Amino acid sequence: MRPFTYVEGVSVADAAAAVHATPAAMFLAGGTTVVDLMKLGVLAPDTLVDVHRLPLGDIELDDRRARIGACVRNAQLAEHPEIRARWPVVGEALQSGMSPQLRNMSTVAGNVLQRTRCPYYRDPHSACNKRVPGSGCAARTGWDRDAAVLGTSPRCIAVFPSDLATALAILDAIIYTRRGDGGARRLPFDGFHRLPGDTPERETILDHGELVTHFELPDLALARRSHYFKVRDRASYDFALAAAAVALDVERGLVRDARIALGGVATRPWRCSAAEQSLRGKRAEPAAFRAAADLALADAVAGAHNGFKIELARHVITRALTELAIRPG
Amino acid sequence: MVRLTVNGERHELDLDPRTTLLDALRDHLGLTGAKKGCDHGQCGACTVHVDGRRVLSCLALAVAQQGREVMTIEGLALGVHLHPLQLAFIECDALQCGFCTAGQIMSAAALLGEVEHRRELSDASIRERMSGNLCRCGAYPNILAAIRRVRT
Amino acid sequence: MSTTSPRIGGFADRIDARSKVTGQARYAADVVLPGLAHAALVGSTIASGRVLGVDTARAEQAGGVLLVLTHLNRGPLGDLPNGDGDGLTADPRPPLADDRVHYRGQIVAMVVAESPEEAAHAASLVDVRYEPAPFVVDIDDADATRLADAPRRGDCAAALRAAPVTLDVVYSTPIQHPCPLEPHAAVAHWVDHDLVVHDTTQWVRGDQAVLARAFGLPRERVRVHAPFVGGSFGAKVFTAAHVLLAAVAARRLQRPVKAVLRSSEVLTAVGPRAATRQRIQLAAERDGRLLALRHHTRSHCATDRGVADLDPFYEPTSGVTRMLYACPHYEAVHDVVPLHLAKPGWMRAPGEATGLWALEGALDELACALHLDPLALRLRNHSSRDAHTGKPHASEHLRECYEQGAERFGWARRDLRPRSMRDGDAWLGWGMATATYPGNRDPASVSVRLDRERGRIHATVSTAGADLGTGMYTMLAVVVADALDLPLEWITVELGDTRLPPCPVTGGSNLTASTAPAARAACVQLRRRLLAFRRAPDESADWHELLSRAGLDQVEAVGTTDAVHDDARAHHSFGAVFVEVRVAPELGRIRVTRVVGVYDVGQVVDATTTRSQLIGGIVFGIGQALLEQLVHDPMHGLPVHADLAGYLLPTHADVPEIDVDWLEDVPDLAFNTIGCRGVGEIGITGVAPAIASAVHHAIGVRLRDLPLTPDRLLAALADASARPERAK
Repeated sequence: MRPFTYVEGVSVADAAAAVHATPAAMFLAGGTTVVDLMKLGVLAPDTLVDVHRLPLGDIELDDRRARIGACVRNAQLAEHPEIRARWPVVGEALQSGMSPQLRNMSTVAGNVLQRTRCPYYRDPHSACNKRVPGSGCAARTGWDRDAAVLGTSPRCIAVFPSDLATALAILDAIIYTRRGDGGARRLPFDGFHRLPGDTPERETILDHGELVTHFELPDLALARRSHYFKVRDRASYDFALAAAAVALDVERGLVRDARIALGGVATRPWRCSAAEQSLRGKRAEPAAFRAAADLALADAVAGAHNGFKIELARHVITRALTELAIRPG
Repeated sequence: MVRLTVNGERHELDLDPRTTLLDALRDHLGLTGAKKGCDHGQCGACTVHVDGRRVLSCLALAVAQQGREVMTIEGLALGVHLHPLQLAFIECDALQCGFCTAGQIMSAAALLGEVEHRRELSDASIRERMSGNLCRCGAYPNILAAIRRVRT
Repeated sequence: MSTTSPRIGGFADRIDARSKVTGQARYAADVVLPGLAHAALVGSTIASGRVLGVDTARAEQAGGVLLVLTHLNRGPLGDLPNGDGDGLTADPRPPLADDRVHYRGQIVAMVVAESPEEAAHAASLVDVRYEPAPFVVDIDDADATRLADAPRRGDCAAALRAAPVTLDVVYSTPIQHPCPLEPHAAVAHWVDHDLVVHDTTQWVRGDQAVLARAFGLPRERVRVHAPFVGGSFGAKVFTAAHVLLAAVAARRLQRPVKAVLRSSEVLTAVGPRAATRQRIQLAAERDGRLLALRHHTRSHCATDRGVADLDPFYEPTSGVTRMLYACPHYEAVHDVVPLHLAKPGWMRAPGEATGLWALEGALDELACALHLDPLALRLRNHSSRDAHTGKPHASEHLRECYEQGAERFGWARRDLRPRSMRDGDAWLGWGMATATYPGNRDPASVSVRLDRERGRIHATVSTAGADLGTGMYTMLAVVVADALDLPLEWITVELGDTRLPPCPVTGGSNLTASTAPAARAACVQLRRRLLAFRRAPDESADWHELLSRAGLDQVEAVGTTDAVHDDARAHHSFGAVFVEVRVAPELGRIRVTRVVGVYDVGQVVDATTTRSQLIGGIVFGIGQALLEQLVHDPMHGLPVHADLAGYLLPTHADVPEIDVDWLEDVPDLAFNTIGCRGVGEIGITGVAPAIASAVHHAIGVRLRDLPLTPDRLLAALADASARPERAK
């Protein structure tokens, strides 16, 4: 780990300005991504601005929305009774990821901003355009069993790993930020994470020194009937091979509205809009779910070892929707 | 100077900002009960409590823990009286090499607090809630038995 | 706590448990000494080639740095005792021996600094220039060399041609790693020109021998401590490179030096279990009686054969296939494939865990082909002697293991047909396999000393062997408690120190069979000596009284065991393992829901730690079957996911209820005076094939490549030829 200066942020504006002013500075919250990657030599900030004591740790709720501070711990969000009731997919996604210890440490913003688990990104000596722009992509010619099948580019096939972000993708979430120059932004979650394209090193639309302060979940009737389903190698404490966040609004057996997003198979949280569209007006039955799943994976492209993810993701969507459709209430 | 409160005692330490809580405990305070297994948040052997919650001390910078209450395995027993979980781990032979044991016990102690008000705690639920603590010796069934013993 | 003395075979509390549940047990990396300096390693980033140059200037200028060792300045090390039984090094040549790179992750430099943070940072500043050479890390992509050792009996080829039923299948296992949770660590320091090392080792005397040779010292001037070792499973037999380098640096700096491997370094630089490809050809009568078995193994070895052009280390898969079942015609051939990887080593049940994967899998296929119950097929081919040497087993109760295991599991209710059990949208399946492991015993000495202490007696039991979590401390205490009628609380056991009486490597499940009889022999001597001081043969004077009559404060005896030399009989443990799995085929998901194992391990010494060892072995088998593989990128030589988020060990949630038991009153008294055989390894054997057989029973799909991951299951389902018939 390279030596660095530790600064405790005293206010949101001050913390954002401090990172903004130093090109190699980074924010530190729970530390579960940053400290891990600094030990590997993948990240080497010269300044860490600690934001975990800033007043960004509350969950506020009213009839219209939930307002979730960026530094709310993932455990806190996962266990919140009202969040569980109104947006069950959030708690289910969080419970399916990490371990209790990591959920206690890591923050909601850190979760949404976590880095890929691609082994070539995590090895500082491998070619990786995300880590060192222009150095190449060793994953494309190497071991790509865990790599993405959706949203890839010739420069990057790394999976975006967050379960929570997959859930937020179907909830019309809004991200609020404070910029280093004092400005503030309100960013729709859809579009917050970038496709890798030619610049896989830029994972979100945040600018340097721009601090996420809050997430907003608007009240959404169909979110009450939402679900997260994940397949992984291990029974617990493991990243997704494929996962789906789904929500259904069903009336008299017919789908009025549906939401579907995929995790573990794409380079960013992957909303499946065409699949959602296809379900509207259909009977809420496995046949329709399978057809929607086929549509969701229609553009998938596999490498040498990750072709199974396409079939698996289809089954995961079908399974998630089927489980949700038969869920009472 | 970094001020840390560990097992109720206050310490002022001259630490490198890079020093993790785990290294501060082990190398600077002589509290070697918490173990460095993977050093990347992947095994749970370094589990301690910070403000009553279980965390991985290998991914926590010591400097960021100022003003918080840290508890390690060394602080769990009351003098010579072992914590019920420590006794249950002995009685159920819930350990073999012992390297993950402090982490398992600290994790289980926090788990009991997290589920205090639940009437039922299934085996599956305990297993899931303990899955952040790897045991290569495979003492899992006995660890489950030890936790169940304390719960009932 | 009771003050009655435990008996051999009873349940005692693990005597070192209190120190472990309170965090007081000291492992090598816990040792702190005044002036301690910290090492960090630099691993090669190429898989093959040469180091052209090492620029250490930036590292040397970094804060706190004391020393940077490379092959240019490491200084001389004596020839290492490689290849003989007296200590082994991990690599076939000394660390930093020259400029040649044989695998990615090979140590090319070591930095020593005042703090671990400074050492790690400076290590990242060492600039190594390489000349890369072509390399190969894929066992299916390289030429093989056939080993001379090719056991055979009868005429396998003829029997295979003539038999009414034949089967020809290939089973594979990936590179798997013992991956103890405690990373390898060493603290080395020099005290008046003597070397003292605190190490994570299964073999303090092996370490001692290697270090003595390396530094040109007589053995007694090297002391190695390993009172607690955080698991090993084969990974800590060899003296690893960082141990030698820590000692070099400590001598150079005249300060103690601590070197702790990162878990990624353990996974890349500490030898794993070799990958295997095993072709099994079976010939049988229609009733299932085996006529011929041909076992052709490919396994990988290191490309580097070291300074002395050593024989390659290979995974001995055929040890078990040749001896287990009655079969007149047998042949095994073994090809080794040199790869640019760290030299493979031992991992729990080396040979048995891999060989049984292939053999038991093939037998399940044969049973299916003949519409026989898999257990009936095993019984039909049961052998009461070592099928290869012809020696009768001195004590063999495999049939009772089958019988009791089947009864506990409910095997009789099993429908032969695949896809016969449904639960919701998952399929259930039941599988079984035979477990076996040889009885090993090596020369060992154990001393038992009795002291008069504050009005009572205290026993101290000592031997150099290490407790890796196996239960050595408790097992020896139980033997002495039983022999001398002492409560456990009056007994101290000292282990893991070269100053203690000689003891072999803790490996091959040998230590109980080696040390328990030695401890008992020491007690017998003590009894004889002290009972001479009784006033009448039936007088019930206690040891304290007798010692005081003898005018002694202390009395000590050393018992010994020799190696096994039994020309007449074979000594093996056996068992039967039964498994239930739950399979969701479209999700590629296999979960083990129930395991029953019943074993014949001779006389159990301590039931508590025996039960834990058997359970732990089964958990290891679940990992072997479903999760564990160390993948190397064939393009770049990179070990992929070489960490504990990538090399997946089973979690709590992966492990179901495990029901283990053993046969009572089956001591192998021809093996040693207690009749015990070790239990450290038999637990893993048979588990993986039982799981795969259960998967086949669940969904009718045969998987022959470990681990049974979702991608493999989905691929097998997609394969039209593997597509099962739908259950009616």
